[in-house]
Amino acid sequence: MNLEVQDVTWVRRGTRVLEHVSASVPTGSVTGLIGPNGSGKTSLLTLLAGLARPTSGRVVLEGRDIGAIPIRERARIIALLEQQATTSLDLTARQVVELGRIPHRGRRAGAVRTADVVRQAMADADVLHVADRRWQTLSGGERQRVQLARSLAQQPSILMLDEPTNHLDLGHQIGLLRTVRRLGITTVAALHDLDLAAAYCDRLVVLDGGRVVAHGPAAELLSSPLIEHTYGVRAEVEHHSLAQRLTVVWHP
Amino acid sequence: MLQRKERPARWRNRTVGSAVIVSVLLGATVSLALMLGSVQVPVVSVWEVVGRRLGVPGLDVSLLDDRIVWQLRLPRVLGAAATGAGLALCGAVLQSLTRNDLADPYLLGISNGAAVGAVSVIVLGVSFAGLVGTALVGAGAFVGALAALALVLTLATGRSGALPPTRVVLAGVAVGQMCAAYTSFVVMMSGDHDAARRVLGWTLGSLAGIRWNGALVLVGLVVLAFCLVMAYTRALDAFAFGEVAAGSLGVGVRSTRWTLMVATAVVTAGLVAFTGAIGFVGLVVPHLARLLCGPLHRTLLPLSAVGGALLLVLADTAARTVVPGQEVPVGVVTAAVGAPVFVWLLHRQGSTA
Repeated sequence: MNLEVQDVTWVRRGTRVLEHVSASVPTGSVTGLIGPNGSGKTSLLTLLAGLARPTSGRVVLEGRDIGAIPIRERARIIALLEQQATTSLDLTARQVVELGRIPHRGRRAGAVRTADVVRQAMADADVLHVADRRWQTLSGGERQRVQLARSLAQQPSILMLDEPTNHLDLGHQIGLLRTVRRLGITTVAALHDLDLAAAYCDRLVVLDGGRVVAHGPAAELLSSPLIEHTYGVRAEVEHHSLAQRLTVVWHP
Repeated sequence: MLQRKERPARWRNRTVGSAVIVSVLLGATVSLALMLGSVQVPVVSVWEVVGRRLGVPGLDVSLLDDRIVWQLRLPRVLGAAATGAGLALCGAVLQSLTRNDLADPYLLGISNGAAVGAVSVIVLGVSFAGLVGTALVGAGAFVGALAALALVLTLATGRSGALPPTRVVLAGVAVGQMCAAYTSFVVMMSGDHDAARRVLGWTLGSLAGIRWNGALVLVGLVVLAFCLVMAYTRALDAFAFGEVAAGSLGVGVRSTRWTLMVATAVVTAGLVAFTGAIGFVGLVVPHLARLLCGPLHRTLLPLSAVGGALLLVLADTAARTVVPGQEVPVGVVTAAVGAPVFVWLLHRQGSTA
């Protein structure tokens, strides 16, 4: 599913959070959104997920304006993993994952068994072993992965991840992004870790102050001047011969 | 081949099991409520009266038993069951919708608004088109509740029309206080002790005035409300992680909120018009139900409704039997039972969280 942002400006509660942003998310690709805090990553994900309307410009999904798609149909196409999910309710991990089936409820044609989809999603997110634990007893990382399983249970064609590696240990950071790559779902992920971005994203979109300052293939885009310009940090980008990937080395 | 959604056998057994337990409990409670009172009627006579009225042939009952059980107690018991179920249902829905444990059916200014209407009728003797006495007080309460609701919704609506829960709660408190100020002022200034007593009695709630007409209206109202909210069970589940999560699961956040808030408020206003503002049922019962069956609404809502019905039937039976020859306001009974339960829930939550 091709998703495109066309010259979007969004004024939210009097603040201009995005300004003339254009970007496209090709089918099957993993796109990284990078940029400093407050640069508009979450805002852009919110618009891409169709959860709010921009002040001007359009978000287009397969040639259709995303606002024109019925919301339940949209929820079967796009899933969102929020930065922080909280609840005071006493749900088990499995019940949380089952929430992901809500957009599919009551559909007969080609129905698959809910339990199977849920189990597969939990296996993919590596949370089967906590299925019957209560949400309140899970660690931050486990909660994040349960939420990922919930997103996967929506069986989306497009996945929006807002800082998905927050709270995760190194093993699970890599595991999550590898899972997303393996499943081949079109993905947009807001990321802070440039090493991870370089390793797992096909393309990067760099935001700063609500504007796109650069976009393109990760390997071509990441450079010392870009990092210094966006983050104000001196850094070297080099190809690590052992790891076979780009790494970012910063100077204090 | 099409596959139907299959439920695990364990789940089905539990549902059947709960339904059986619930029916037995309801039956026993209703029998008890019909037996007890200023005149005790044996359980056999109770069911003979009901059986004869429902067309079972060959039953012989005394006129007095028929009058007590069928004309006086049964409508009151049905009214209590419907009111309790309705209050608990509305409380459960509003707690989920606002993600606020303290939400109850009177959240949107209903009880205080209704009091304004009731007091205006009782103290100021506002009269209207041939309506007199209790019916007029009820009508006044209903109008007052709807006016307060309209005011709360106006104040709470954000620029985007989205009804943010925190604004709803705050607007409800503000309007409630305004209405309470008016009520107190009018009662104090009137200097009429009888009116003050009637106002107090109304505020605490009573099911004493309910006859068949009222009972049938209450039952109809609550059955409608139940059908409506049961259509929203999965949408309410989706609010577990907040409105952004609900939106991303394909739930229309704004429309769900408006529909359910207005619907529960109107239902509550209807209940209050007949019974006055009975407290604690709508606050405590959903919490107890959540403890028993978890927070998913497919089971939470029916269980809350049944729990509310049981509680209010028992509370009302206690209200009319505890002190011989006198009625205790049912709101006093529900508060006396509900407040300690609520404290216990708080304590429990404090020790687990």
